[in-house]
Amino acid sequence: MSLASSETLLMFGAMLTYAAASLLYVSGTTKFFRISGNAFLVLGVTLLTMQAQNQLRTEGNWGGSAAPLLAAMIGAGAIAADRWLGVRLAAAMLAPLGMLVLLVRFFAAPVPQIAPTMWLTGFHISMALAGQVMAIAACVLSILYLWQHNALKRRKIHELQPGIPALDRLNQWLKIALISGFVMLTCSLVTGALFMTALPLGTTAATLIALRAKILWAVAVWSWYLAILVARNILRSPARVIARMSVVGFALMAIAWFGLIFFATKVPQIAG
Amino acid sequence: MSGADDSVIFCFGANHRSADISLREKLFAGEDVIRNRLPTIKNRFGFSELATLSTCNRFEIFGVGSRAVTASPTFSDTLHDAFLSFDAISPEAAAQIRQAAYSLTGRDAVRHLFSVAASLDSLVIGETQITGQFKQALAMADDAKTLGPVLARLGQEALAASKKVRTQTAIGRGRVSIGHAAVELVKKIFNDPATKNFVVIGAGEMAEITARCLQQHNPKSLRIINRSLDRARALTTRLNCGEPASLDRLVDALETADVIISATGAPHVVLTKAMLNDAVRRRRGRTLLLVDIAMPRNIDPTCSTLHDVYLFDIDDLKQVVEGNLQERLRAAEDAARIIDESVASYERWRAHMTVAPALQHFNGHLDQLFRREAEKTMARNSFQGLNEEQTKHVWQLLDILASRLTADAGRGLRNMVDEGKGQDAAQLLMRLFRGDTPRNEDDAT
Repeated sequence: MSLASSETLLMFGAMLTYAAASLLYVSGTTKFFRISGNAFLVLGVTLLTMQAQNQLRTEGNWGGSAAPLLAAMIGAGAIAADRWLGVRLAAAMLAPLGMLVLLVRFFAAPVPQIAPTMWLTGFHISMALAGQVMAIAACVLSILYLWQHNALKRRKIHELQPGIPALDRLNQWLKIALISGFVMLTCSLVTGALFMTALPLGTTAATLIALRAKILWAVAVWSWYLAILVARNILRSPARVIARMSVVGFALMAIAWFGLIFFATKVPQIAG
Repeated sequence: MSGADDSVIFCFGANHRSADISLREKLFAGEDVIRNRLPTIKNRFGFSELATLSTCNRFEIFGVGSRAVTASPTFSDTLHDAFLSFDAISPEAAAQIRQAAYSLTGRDAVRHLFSVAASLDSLVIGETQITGQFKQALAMADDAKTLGPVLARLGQEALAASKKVRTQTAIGRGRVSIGHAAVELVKKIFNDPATKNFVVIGAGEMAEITARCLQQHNPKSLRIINRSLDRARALTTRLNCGEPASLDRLVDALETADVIISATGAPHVVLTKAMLNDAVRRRRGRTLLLVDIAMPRNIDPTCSTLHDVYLFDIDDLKQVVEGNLQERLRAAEDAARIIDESVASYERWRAHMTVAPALQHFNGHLDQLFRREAEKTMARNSFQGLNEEQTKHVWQLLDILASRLTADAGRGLRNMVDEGKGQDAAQLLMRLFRGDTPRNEDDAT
């Protein structure tokens, strides 16, 4: 199973539109976010349809189009859920799911077709790092929020720290950290897909295992932050719950990160 | 010697500690009355300077009198009469004032005035209003031409000490009224109260005080909800802001309000958990702060268990107020040290002022001497050839010499004042360089 260059580009473009739609759906509930999200998904579904037609023309069967077709159906479902059924939650969950399906398709492709440029490499790494910094910021803000919140709920006014900003300011900053962190992690994830297609043919099993573990970790962290944003902006969960989720999210990220380092050192033995 | 060295600062008055509010009400004098009467009273009682501080917590007259006047056994009566001259009051009140008033002179008066300006003598220690009132008292005296160098310098030093106290100690930190404590609490939850919707339940005294505190922060909206719509309307009219509403509008207000402060006199709960529960669902995660300053409480205490709802009652706010007051009392000890230093500095200035007349004489003597001798010298033939510019330079040189000699003598005298020998040195200087002594021509040669 390989990815031809034009098909790769179409799928990559579709993945970008799905990512943009996901970001828009979980960032706000106003008309602007909804219409923009739907527009990106329409574009994504169109690209995927083109990709499937291409596949059919060049190979004469639908064999390699299962993932794009599934993603297209998911995208159409998301539009229908938002546009006609008015179920925001479904749209906000389906669009990222479509993106993940395309992502899996990329990660599963072993043959290099696109060579990432230096610029893309730098962008991928810097987005990943910035996303992690935002996750740290979200965690710190959440701890401060929970500290002040608990003091206020227990009416321990003297436990309130004078230098810490007001609760609504902390909440606002937390929202910014979560959304921008999610955007950065998404960018990192999407550009990371290109690196999988660029692996040299002789890549060892150990490297592949290590890479897939890293991808799994990245997808898990990304999904958790997606869940936080859905809880915050669509389910309107209390700020206290969001703060706790952010702390848990960071803890998961940290544990998984250190676990990954440990795993990477053991992989050669396992693979060998 | 005459002038500042012979003068004594005095202060006479009644304050929140010595007189109750009914008596203080009788003492209050408006700005116009003070401005009009200050010059008359100053002249009538022979004071060299006079000012009046009139606030809701104190009425004090302070000024400068000659040592002869202040040393008189009847000086207390003089001050009492001067004090009462500011307003016509009944004989009974006059007798009460005699009991309640305090009379201070010299260093005690200076220290008292410094403490007043720094808000250490206020009903609420550390409040800022008194500093402005003190400034205003000095400005009124200045307008009435009863402010002289001694009081002007005292005011300057007292205000500088007040600033030092405020910046170097915790005297002004933390709010000490329930209304302000409620606003402080709002700021812990909402960064900018100006963007929030406030609701005050009740239209009584506490509701009004709180609404006035809130008004200072220009809230986005302020709704006064009361059982009687007329009273709510009357309060909004007095405040000149806010929207009045009757109690049946409370449920609607729960959905839009960010802060609800309850201060009614109702003997029962006005806001129940059931009412709030529905509203919280509709609010979709927006934070709500409830402050119940009523006694008995108007908000069901179980409301605090709801998500995104913070509830505080009067006991919580009292904790804040008492904590802040304790902090201010602790800070007052540090402030007292600053006041002592400032009073000492002012007293040193006053002591240095005692040798000022001797220095003036010395300077005058030098001036006369140089001028006389220079005129004689210029009259000689050898100096006839000097042009106007050169003559001007010679005069300038003599002026500089006189100033330098006076400055050196002043420095020496002030050092001797600090050593306690200032008066003797000043007298010696006066005797050695008596300006009016006719000079013998032989001495000059």
